[in-house]
This record gives sequence, structure tokens and C-alpha cells, in this order.
Amino acid sequence: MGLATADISRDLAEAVAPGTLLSGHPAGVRAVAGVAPRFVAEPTSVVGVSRVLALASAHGLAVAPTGGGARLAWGAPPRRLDVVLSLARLDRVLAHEPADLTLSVECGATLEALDAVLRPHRQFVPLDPARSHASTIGGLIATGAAGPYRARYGTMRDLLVGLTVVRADGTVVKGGGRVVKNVTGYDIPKLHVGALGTLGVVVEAHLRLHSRPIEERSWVFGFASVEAALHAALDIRDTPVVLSRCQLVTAGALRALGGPEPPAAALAVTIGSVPEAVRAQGSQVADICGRAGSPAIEVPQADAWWQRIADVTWPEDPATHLSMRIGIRPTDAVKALRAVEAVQPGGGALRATVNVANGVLHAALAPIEARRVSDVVARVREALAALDGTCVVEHAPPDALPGLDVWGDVGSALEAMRRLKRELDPAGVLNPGRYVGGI
Amino acid sequence: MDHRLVDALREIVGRDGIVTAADQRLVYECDMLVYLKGMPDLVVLPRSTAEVLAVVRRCLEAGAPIIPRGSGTGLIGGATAPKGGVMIGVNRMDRILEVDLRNRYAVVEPGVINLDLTRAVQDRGYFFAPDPSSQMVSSIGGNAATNAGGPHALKYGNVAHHVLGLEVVTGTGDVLTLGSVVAERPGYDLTGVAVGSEGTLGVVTKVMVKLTRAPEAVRTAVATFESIEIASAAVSAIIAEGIVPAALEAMDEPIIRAVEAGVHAGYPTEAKAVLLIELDGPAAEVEVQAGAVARICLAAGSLTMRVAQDDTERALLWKGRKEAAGAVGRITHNYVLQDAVVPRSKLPTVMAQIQAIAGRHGLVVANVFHAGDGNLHPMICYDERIPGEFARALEANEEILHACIALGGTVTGEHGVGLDKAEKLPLLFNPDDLEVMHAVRRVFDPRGLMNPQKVFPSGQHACAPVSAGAGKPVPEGMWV
Repeated sequence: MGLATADISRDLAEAVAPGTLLSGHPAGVRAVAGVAPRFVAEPTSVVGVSRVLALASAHGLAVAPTGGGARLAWGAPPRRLDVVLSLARLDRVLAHEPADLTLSVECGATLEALDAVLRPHRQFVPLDPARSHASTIGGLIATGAAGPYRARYGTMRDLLVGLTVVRADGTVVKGGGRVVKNVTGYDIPKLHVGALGTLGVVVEAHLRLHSRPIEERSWVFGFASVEAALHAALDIRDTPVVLSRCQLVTAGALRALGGPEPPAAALAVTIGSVPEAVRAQGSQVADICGRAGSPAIEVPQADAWWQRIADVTWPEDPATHLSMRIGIRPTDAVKALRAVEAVQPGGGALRATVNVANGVLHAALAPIEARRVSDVVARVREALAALDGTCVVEHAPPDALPGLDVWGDVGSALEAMRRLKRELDPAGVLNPGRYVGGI
Repeated sequence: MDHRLVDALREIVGRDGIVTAADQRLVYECDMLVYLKGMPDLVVLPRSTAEVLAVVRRCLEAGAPIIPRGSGTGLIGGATAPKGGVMIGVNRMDRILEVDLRNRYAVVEPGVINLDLTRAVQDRGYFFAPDPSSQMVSSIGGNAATNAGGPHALKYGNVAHHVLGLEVVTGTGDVLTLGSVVAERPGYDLTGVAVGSEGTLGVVTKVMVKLTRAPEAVRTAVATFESIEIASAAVSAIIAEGIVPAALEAMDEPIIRAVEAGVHAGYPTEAKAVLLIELDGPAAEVEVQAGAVARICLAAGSLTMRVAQDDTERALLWKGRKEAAGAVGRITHNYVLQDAVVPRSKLPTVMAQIQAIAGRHGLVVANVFHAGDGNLHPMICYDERIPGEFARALEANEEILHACIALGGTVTGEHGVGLDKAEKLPLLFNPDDLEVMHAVRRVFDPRGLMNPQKVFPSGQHACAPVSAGAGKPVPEGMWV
């Protein structure tokens, strides 16, 4: 501590490649949840990341790592912020082993860039979150974000087999391995998934890949009520049909997606397999939905359409937008939807989608006044408590953030989480204040 | 052991919940890795979380090591007490607390036997996917502690993929609920790190697990090959084609002989190697993939392929596989077992290297392994009665492990580290890497009393392998 900005600036500039350190106004515009950094560093190597963190640690600076920036607004505003540490230039594919279905990659690589490498081999990283094009592997590890594919392929937790992490003091460590099956020592990679970069900066990842199904088709079914849509989805889930995606889309979300006057709810599904099995399972799904009077409509060029579904709860105007990620038992999806509807402020619109396979509800309310946000969130959480539900605020108007608990109740393990943070980042360098319980 | 501690623990678990007599503690001195022994001073068999908590707190007060134990079917010297102390057997905590098929989960106590959970839900079309070969006797608590695998881990993943949450009594004397049956609980994935921590962080008292919908169709086939290398090349070719079978198991000639002598599973005894291939999923998909697998095997040089015609035949093929390790006792007096993993494209290379290493040491290696995910189980055969053979077997074992790691592999794919492999961790992790694991340990077990000397390298074994007089060397009914 105690070094003047100019000295720190000089040291940081020496730590990274020429031209990859911003300060002053160009840095200030890269604010994290409304808090402007003094510097933005964009190292081009793991050594560069290590040097920046060693310096930050020595000088007591607070660092916010970032990838593509798609989810930089998630979490609470930082308690302190000096350096935004961008991994955007660490974006190389280190090793793709098609015959092993594995990939080693630097964490700034985007899903879009990886798709270009993997598609010729009919392989992919099966994550389709909102804003996929801007989503980097590092960002997806930090946030644990997933999209509708989660129904079949799980989340980053299920794909990440090993990693290289730079600790808060600059020490470079590795965890896990490169093979798909490994129980050697503690499973350190899982600790970093969803940790919002508070335990270390993940710089390299080793992933298990999946092969793309030979054929993938998507259908949408309209229903007269959300209850009917949920029942159909649960009935499908009770058969051996393998769904790649299974998303309930509410009328508000359908309206936002455009098209004619929407039904009360729709069920959108994807099935991927060999063509014979896609057809056979598709007709099983159509039979179940047909019993509720809902004919199948097949969606052509479905990937772009699914991206729009994933994005439909994403803010258009961040100043007046509240979105929540809610976890519930799938059978409680309608109750959770009703809980959100009940607190919906007059004049606003509700857009919601539910991953029926995993019990994940994304709900967006807009426009909403900042002063109403904390009450709305509290009432949703109160209603969800009876369902053991969880509610994390993904986006809220910046004016609503101070004092808002974006994470909600963590339960009995919070103290252990705090101790873990203290063990791995005793100086509080990484994202101070942004994670659960003020971590 | 301090009689006051014994009295206090007896008070907690009752007279029928405590084992003090030396002859009764004998069965608790090792797991299925019988040459690493360490007898606990005391065994307690609590019936509830409250009892586990009280026991742990009392042991912490007394500074006594705490060793959790499930069914004792581990293969790594994990459930053994090299420093003495109190072993907590969870076997009497064996209730299935909740089954929710619509939401596809169950909550169980740690002593529930793996297969019993599947038996409880299979009539309704569901199953608990992790299937370590010991599943008819191993506990779900033990499965979670070791992050156990099994043949079907190829498609369905190790236990970690199926654990949604845990209740744990930690080495700080707290009861923590980690994770949840509901998705998106905020906070660090402590469930993810607790699974596979081998009792070094705490005692698991509840496990929340995923249940999986049974597939529409299952097809099991046996293909024969001229050599284990050729069979391995077929495995690599299947994976490279993008087909991930439910299970893809390899067995070589010594194993086939051992199995057929006992189980009569129907493996062709003239074969030098067989692959047991199982496809599951939608019927139409299985049909198409079966054709593709048959073509790939033929192109790779398979001699014959036989598809199980009914459930009885299928069950018999699996019985042979699951009891293969126990059957090895028919062909060797003793063996050393390995659990290394290689990238699956390296299987043919590593199989040739293993044969060469065994040849150099004048030893036979029998191979039965989870080929699809590159998880090897070479069993290095030796006879403890022949001077020097055990030492050569250990040398060969070491060389095989180094060969696997040189190919990009790892030390253990599903058995875990325990006492057996603790000293091997530095082959993969430097002191900085290991320090992160130590940091996690300190959070949950700052005094190092939870299952001491396991997982972490110490530089020395507390209980040295005994090379002779260790009772029956190859335990009957051992599962890998």
C-alpha cells in the first residue's frame, strides 16, 4: 500500500505486454456494476496474469477478472475495485484431441470461436446460455451459466475436468487433469465453477467434449395454460424419451419473441439423435402434447431461435430491468411462476422461461422502478421459501444494487465458504464484496 | 484408549452400537486392500446424524482420529486406521428417506447399499446410475466418499455427477448441508469437493442423489479379438466415431480364463481378448449405433461378435465382468492392482507398454478395465511365497503408473487415493497445487483428525505393506 497511482501504473504496465494496460477514462468506462476501475489490464500470457495479481496482492489492490463481459454485471457491486483483469487476449486453443473428445483451451476463448474449431469434427461444448456469442470459457466457469441444453448435457460442472488457476497472490496452480475420469486428490475444478472468480483467476481449462447428434430437431407446442404445459413436460420426462432441451415459455416471453397472439404458454423441445430415433421420439412427444390439444409446430433453423429464447429474459434497458434465476423442484414450476406474477408491479411485463428438466426458472420484470426492487425480490424469496426455492438476482437497475442481497440465503455452509475464501485469498484481492454473504 | 472416551461414546451410541473387543475389531482393520492394515481402537455404529455429531465432537475433544467407514469395499486402504482412533461405521444409517421420481431425486442415509436404491425405484422405470462393481454391497456414503465409478460411468459419469447435495458432520464439529435437491443454490460447490474427499473433511450423514430414467432399450454384446492391443484399438475407434456406449469394458486372456473357470459367463475361452459393449438409449438409436459398433469392431479386426438375446444372458455377461477381479484368485496367489487412466486414444500404446513391462519383470499381468474412458485395472500377478516376486510386482506397478502419466493420464480414475496412492500425488501435483487441497482441508478439518494420513502425501507410510502372512491374499468377491 501507499504507492502512488503513477508508480502502480508503471509496475502494472511492466507486468503486461506493451499497449495492454489502460488507465484513466478508457479504463473508467469498463465499470463493474457501476464501480469504475483505475486500470484495465489485458495480459497476453499466463505469466502476465500472474504478474498483475502478484502486484495487486503486494499493493492491496482489488481485482475483477473478466472474459467477454457478458455477465460482468452479475453479483453484488464490488466493495473496492482497482483493476479490471481482462482475459480476452488469452484465447488460444491449446490442444484439441478429437479422438479423445477433449479440449484444452485458454479461458478467454469464446463459445463462438470454439465452435469454428469443433464443428468440422462434429463435436461441441454443449452450453447454450444467453449471449452465447460473447460468452468465454472462463466466464462460463466463473458464473456457472448454462442454457436450455442443460437438460441433457448438464452445466460447466459436468464438462470441466481440469484447469490452471492463478491464485490471488500470483501463484499458478493446477487442479484436476486432462482425462475424462479422474479422482486423484480433491476435485478443485468444481470449486471454481460458479465462484465468480473469487477463489482464483482460471486461465486454462480442460474440457470433456460431446459429439453432435447426427440430427437435431426442435418443436414448439402451444397450451391453454401454464399448468397444462408443465404437466405435458413432466409426462414426457416420465418416459424414456431423451430431450436435449425442454423449456416452458410463458405468454409474456412469447410476446417478446414476436409472432401472432400467443397461447398462455408454450413448451419448446429439442431432440438429438440418429434421424430414426429423432422421428420416433418426436412423435412420442407430439402424442403427449396432442392429448392436451396442442399440435406440433416444427421450428426450422432452431439454434438461432433457441438463442432468442435464452436471451428473452436478458435486459434491453438495464436501468429498468430486474431478472431473477430461480431454482425449484420441476413440479413446483407453476407455483414459482405465480409467486413472481404476484409481485409484478403494475404496468410492467413479465417474461419467464422454465427449464423443466432441471427446475430453473428465469424471470424478467421490466420496466421496474429501482426503489421497488428490493421489496419485489424479498417477496419472491418469501414465497419460494415454502418450496425450498432459491432466487439469485442476475440483473437489477444499478440504483437498486446498493443494499440489495443479490444472492439470497446460502444456508449452513456460509461460514465454511467464508473460511475457504480467507484461505485462498486472505488479502481479499479478487472481487471483494461481489459474492455470497459479502465474500 | 482412554476409558472415559469409550464410556462417553457408549453413552451416545448405546451398548449395541460400540465394538471394543480386539477380535471383533479385526474386520475393521482394513478394506479390500488387505495388505494395508491399521486397527481402530474403537468402532462406533451410530444411528442418526445427532449421534454422529455427538461422537465427532467427543472425539475432537479427546484429540482422537476419526475414520468414517461404509461397507469396507474400498481398494485403497481408505477405511483403515493407521493411527488408531475411532472408526465410525455408518452401516446402521441405512434408510431411504425420500424418493421423488417426478423430480428425479432421492435422499438417503449413507449406509444405504447402492443396489438397494435402484431396487427401490426400478419398477417405476428409474435407477441410480453409478454402478461400481461392488454395488450389491457397497454403501452410497462410501461411493460418495471415493467418487466411485463403475462400468457405466462411461456414459453416466462418476458418482459426483449424481450427487446433488450432502449433509456432513465436519472435522470442526458442525453439521453442514451442502448443495440441495433444488438447482441453483448460491455459493461455492462444496458438494463437488466433498464428494471424493475420502472422509478427510467429515462424515457424510445424508446423500441427495439424482435418479435416472431407465433407457428404452439396452443391447449388450461380446466381441472377441486376437490381442488386447487390437481390442483397445477398436475401443479408440468407437470413441473417435463419436459413439459413447453406456459401457465399454475390456478383458484379456488371463481374465477370461479366470472368469470362465468360475462364473461361466459365456465369454469365448479361445479368445485372447474380449470387449463387453453395452449400448442404451432410445430403441432406434441403439439399433443404428449397434450396427456402427459392429462395423467398427470388424474393421478393427474383431473375430466374433455375439449379442445377448435376453436379460438372463445379459445379466450373465455382466456377472462375469463384475466378478472378474475376485475370480483372479483362481489364476494367481496375489496381485497388485492399478487404477490409472490414459487418454482413450492412447489405449493401444499403453497396452503394449504394459505387456513389455510385465515381460521384463517375468510377471503376468491380467487386464480387466473400463476401456471406454481409458481407466485401466492391470492386475500384476505374483506369488508372495516366491522370494523377490512381490518386490518385482511393485516395481512393475510403478513403471506402469509412470507410463500412464507420461501419456497424459492420471493416478486413479475411480478407486481413490487412500493410503495406497497418497505418495503418488506429487507425480501430478506440485507443492503449490497440493497447498490448495490443504487449504480446503483446513476449512473443514483444521486439526487433521478426519481420516488422517489418507489422500495427502506424507513422505512415509504409517503402516507398511506386509508382504507375507496377510491372510487370504486375494480377497474373494473383490470388485473393480
